[in-house]
Amino acid sequence: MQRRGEVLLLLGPCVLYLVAFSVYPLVTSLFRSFEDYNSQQNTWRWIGLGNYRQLFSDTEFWHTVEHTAFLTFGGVALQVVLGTALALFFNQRLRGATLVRGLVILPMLLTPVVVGLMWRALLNPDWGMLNWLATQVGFHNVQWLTDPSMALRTLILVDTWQWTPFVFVVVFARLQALPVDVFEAGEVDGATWFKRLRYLTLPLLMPAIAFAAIFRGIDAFRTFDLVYGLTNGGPVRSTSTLSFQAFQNGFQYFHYGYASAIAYVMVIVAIVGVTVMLRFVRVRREDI
Amino acid sequence: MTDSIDSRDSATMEAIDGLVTGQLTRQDFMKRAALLGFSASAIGSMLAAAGKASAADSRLYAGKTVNILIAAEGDDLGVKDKVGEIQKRFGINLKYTALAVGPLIEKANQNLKAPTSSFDAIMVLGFSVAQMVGGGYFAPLNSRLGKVPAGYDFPHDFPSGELQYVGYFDTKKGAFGGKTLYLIPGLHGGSVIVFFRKDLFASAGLKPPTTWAGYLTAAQKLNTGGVAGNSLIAKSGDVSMFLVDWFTRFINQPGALLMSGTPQAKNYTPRLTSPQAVAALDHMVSCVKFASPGVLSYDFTASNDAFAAGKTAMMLLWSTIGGPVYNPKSSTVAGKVAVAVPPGGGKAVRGGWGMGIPKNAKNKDAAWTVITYLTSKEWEKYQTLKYQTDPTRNSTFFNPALAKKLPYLPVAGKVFQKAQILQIANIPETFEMIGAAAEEFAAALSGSSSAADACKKANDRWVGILQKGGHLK
Repeated sequence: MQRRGEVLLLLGPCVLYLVAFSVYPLVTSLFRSFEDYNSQQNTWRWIGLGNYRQLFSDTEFWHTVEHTAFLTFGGVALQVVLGTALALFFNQRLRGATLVRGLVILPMLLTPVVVGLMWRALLNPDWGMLNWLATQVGFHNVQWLTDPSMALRTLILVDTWQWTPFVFVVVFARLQALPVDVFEAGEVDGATWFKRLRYLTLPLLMPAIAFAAIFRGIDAFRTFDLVYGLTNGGPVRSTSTLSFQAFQNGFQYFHYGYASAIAYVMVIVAIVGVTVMLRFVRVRREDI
Repeated sequence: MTDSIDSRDSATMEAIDGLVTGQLTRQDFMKRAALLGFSASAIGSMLAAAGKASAADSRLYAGKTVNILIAAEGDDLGVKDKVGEIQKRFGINLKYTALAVGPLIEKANQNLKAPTSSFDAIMVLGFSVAQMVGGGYFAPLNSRLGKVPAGYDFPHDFPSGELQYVGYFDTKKGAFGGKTLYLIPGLHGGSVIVFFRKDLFASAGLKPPTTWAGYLTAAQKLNTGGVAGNSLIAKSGDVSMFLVDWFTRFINQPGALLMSGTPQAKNYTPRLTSPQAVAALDHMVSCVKFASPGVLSYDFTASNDAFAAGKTAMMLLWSTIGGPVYNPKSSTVAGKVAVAVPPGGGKAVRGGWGMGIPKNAKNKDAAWTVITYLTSKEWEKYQTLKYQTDPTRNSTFFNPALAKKLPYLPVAGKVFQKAQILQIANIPETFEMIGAAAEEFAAALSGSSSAADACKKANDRWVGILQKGGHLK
């Protein structure tokens, strides 16, 4: 009895917190996704699957899905490759590496919306530093953020700039903890640097890489703040992500029901995506 | 009383107003009243009445806190300056929250729909009047008009078009105008005018453009020597791109009509594929060629900053935003600027804000005192002169003393008087529609679509939004 009381006392606040801030909003937004909100009359009307029907028949929604997928898979792939490469590079224990390592992880410490605003200034075609450098070496002004065919790539580049350090930190930490004897045995057996990398380092790093990729994948999938700060979804909605579309519909146009439907599609995709990824890549608890 | 005070006698009213508001000392007032021919007893009565009025006001609200939500578009600076004055004069502790348009609308909506609003007075943008006032969230002000400061001059001093837009609203019909007053125009108004560099125009032998062809020719001719011939608000999705650049080009063409039908009849149909609509966008596409390479990222701030830095020869802009280009502290071209009405007919979209009291506000009476102060001649004159936001009152727009210091004011006032309410401003989806059009138009400006295709796409999106909102079957 006393034990039960202790359990309630210890778990109670957490459960209450979860119910208030996760379960309740989740259930409420599910109901809202079946309703239509009239902002003028402040009323809700039950429309069943109306929001979902409209969503799936909206070509713009599918464009947004494409952008989100491109940002998630393209961006994360780039970050995993660069982050792992950086980790391997810094594992060489070069002189001054500690200082440079500290600098490398700095972008990760910034708020994404600030990163967006900062890069918007850097990429400004009139007075941004990047275009100034480009013109100094004979290139034309690059429309990084105003050309619809270029903006999503720019978004991925900025996202990569900010989040490659995260992959680096995770992979580097794992790299430091790898058993030395395996590599010594490989070296004794005459394995070249490339073979050691291919058959020893990368397989041993895979759980950490998978963890970083899944974590970053979820994060990239719900990207909102960087889009808000850098492109505001433009030009011509070419960088609009699912989160941004949900925000726009909910908080700018007051289509709360429709925005909830988008959010629920995201929740389902995220659950399915993570489950599938975890099935393919087994991450043991002790590997993380 | 032998000396009857004629309410039309502006000099007398101004003197009384000055006394009540504290702009004139008692001695100055007596001198002026004597010059106006008032007897000693009349002056004494007026002094006593004015004294009673301000003392009574001060006692009534002593210690009350009034929270207001205002736009962070320069008005906040003038409000901040006068917090102490409001405290001294009315005993009201004024607290203000100043936000940009988007966050302000979000915050206002949250408060209007809450059981009690945190704000006792809220500034409402014209384009959100249909949603906020039309939703029945604001208290009628008609009965309060009996209690305004001396010389408030309502409604005569406000352009009738602005009163129809950010003043009166018919909530039953969901239409601007009507007999119920919900907002007082303010804290700033404005429309769209052409700002140009008179020195560059003179050296190129050009006159301010009166036609859109002339505008383009001037832009082309002036696009030399590191100065862009013109600038536009060309940022994708920016509502000012639609309202300032596209709509001004559109509405000044013969036969331009944005919509047909009415929302009530559920046949509200967009006409964005009309020749006038496509021509307006085509003109913008041509103007981009004679603008800065970064013009596609320009919002109104960037456009204004480029002009103020001397990098642009000409621009269309909200008059309330462009005013500071005349200010030597914020502009390198302060002495070289002139303004003109928009080419083709001098028409532009009606902009502006109104200030009202939410139905669920706690301190309605004290809020009314604050509103009447912040929309008074006194505050508006102070604000316009110091921060160059556009006024809403005729007496400020056409004040000769102000015009000497801010020469753009009479031109801005002229356009403001005949500015047109955007046809789609009477439905809650206004912002969504404007944003959608500005997104599609950006495709044409960046060269990834033709003007006709962009207009067609924008039109299709408008149809979708109108159908969803129940305004079109």
